[in-house]
Amino acid sequence: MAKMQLLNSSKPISNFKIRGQVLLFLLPAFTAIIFVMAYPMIKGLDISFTNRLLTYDKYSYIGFQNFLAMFSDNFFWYSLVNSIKLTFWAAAGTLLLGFALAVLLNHQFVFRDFFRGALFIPWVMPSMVTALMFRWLYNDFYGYFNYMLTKYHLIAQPVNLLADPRLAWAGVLLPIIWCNYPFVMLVFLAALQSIDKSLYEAAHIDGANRLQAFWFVTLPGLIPAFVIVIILEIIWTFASFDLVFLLTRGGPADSTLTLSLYIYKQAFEAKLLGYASALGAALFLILFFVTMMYFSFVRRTGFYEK
Amino acid sequence: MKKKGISYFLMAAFFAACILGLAGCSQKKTAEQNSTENKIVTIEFSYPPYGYDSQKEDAFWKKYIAEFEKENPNIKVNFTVESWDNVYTKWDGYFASGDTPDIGYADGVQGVEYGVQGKALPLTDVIDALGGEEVFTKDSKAFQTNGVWYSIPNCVAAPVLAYRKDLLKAAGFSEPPKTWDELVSMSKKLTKDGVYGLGMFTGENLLTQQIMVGFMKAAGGRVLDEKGNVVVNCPENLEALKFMTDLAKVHKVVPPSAVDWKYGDDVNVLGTGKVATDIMWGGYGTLLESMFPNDYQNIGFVTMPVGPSGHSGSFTGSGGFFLFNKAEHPKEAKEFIKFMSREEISKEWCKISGNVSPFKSIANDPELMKMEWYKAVSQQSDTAVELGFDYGFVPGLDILHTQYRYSRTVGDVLLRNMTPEEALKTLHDDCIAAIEKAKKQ
Repeated sequence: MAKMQLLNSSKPISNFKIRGQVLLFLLPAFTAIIFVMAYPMIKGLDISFTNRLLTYDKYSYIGFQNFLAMFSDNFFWYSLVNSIKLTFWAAAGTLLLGFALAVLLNHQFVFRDFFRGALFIPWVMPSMVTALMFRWLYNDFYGYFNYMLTKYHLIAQPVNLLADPRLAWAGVLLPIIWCNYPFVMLVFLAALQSIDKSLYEAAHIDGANRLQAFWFVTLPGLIPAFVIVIILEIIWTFASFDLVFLLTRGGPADSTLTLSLYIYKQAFEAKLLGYASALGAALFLILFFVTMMYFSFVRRTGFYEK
Repeated sequence: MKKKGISYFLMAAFFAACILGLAGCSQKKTAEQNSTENKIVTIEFSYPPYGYDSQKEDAFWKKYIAEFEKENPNIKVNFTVESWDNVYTKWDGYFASGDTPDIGYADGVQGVEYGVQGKALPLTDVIDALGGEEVFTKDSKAFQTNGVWYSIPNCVAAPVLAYRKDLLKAAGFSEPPKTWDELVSMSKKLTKDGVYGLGMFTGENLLTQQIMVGFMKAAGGRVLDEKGNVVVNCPENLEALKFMTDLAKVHKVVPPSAVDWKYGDDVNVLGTGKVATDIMWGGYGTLLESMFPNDYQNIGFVTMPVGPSGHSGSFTGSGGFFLFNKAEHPKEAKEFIKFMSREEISKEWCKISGNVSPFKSIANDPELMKMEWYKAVSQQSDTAVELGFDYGFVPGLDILHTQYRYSRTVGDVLLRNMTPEEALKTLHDDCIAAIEKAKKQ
């Protein structure tokens, strides 16, 4: 309404007043954004140009040294590759599980509503609870996984997934997939229900069997959902910190060290606040690029309008 | 026009509310200033938990804060329990903003570090009021530097050797191991049927670091020499590193999953009899008693086995009060610290928190010494060490501590296939680098 008035008004003084009114209403939001987003970002960038150590007050500006050091830091590249690996496998697992469950839940069966609710529980579970639950499941002395596997002679000796550098990835991936699949499932379920039923009737009349109907009607209808979910999963998993931190803290022997965990360790364990801020800026740039891809896709396809 | 008037009125009301809110904050300050004049003040106390049983600990602080407030009707204590996950980050935020609580509670080295950096107030006058430094056990030297006390000792603790009496008896042992050699030979015999001879953290974390430091001390190793030069790469430390890593890698008497243990995991495996002996903080005895009441009688505690240096050696932890440099009510805060340092309160604190008293008069109290865990910790503390305060506060060594750098050396040998010699050389170089880095600040 204000915009309409603004456009239709012929009096400049009136336009000025309306603009002022709009700006005043936006002021609280702007203020919040400046304090909780802009200021920390600028401050972080400022620190990234210093040799500041946490708990040490004195520091000096060292130009781009931290950023240059990043390129020759093997741990930076190692943790970056680990983050990409984790993101790929977690996104793939989440997508497959979420999609399969969405297809199942799209069919009519007894207690369907109950399962729709129950399967969503992992999404609302706090990370701490999830981590403790999986740590208990994996435990080699009293964990349920080892109990079942040794009971049925599938393994001779109990194995703690999180204690073995070769297996720790699997130990970390399982809870991440378990936490993230409900969102994917929900998006796919909504997308499945929005596919026009008449398309299936037409496919049936044309002689398509169920598999062909799925391939030629269902899957094309889900493509926008696939793209959105993949991009969101990449953003969330790449920056995720909590579950890996709670489960392994990047160990054993750095085998599950991701970029966000490496930043934490540099800032709060090695106390290299300046260097950690530079690493944070790199992580921000990577995620900014992916987020721009997401917005570009949404704008181009008009996904939400559909 | 009327609508516009209402909008302007609402906006004006919103901003007026904001301004009044802000004014309210400063009004609160003014009210507090007034109350100071009326001799009623509130002191802020920021405390990360130092006990092992949070329920008992909460009840203890509530009880004695209430008693203090009753004795001092002009002083209120606002007690905040902090999380160990972010307490130091939170305090750093306080220091940066200048808006700090009055009292903090931290280990001695931390208090001294803050003092040296001008972030904590000297408390030598409180030490004098409590009877001078001679009333404290020798562990308390961590709380001062160059004769200036920046923290008031309140508790001391150390890792000791806990053991299952029933498992040792079943294996034909009447006593727990007293030397490194006995530890190896007994642990080998005790490792059978899914039970491991020795439980100890081997992952890259604080607890592994503490155990490693204890072994270094027992071997007679040091980090710095008398002149302050880094001497990590020495035969004694190498022997300690080899001894610790061989227990897991060569003798295989430590559960492989100890690489992944978190706080409390050792309590569970000892309580359920999955390990026969375990290196753990003695105070865990209080937790074992409440978690495994039926098996607790089978659990004993002794000092760590004696190493090549002739003494057992152990890491030590300590806790005490310090005053933030921007404390608004330092005088009243000191009164509270003196109150909490009273003998009867200190004694009760030991019982419920799983720590040993830093006061000589209580440290070897016969009633407290009846508790096996207390006796072991009390005896262990005599040989305890915390690398870093042996030499006073050395900028840079604190970085190695927060990095769990010593535990990474253990990981280098156990998981990264480095030789102990290579791993120790790397630690040595990192020590030099950390100290150099801190010097540049």
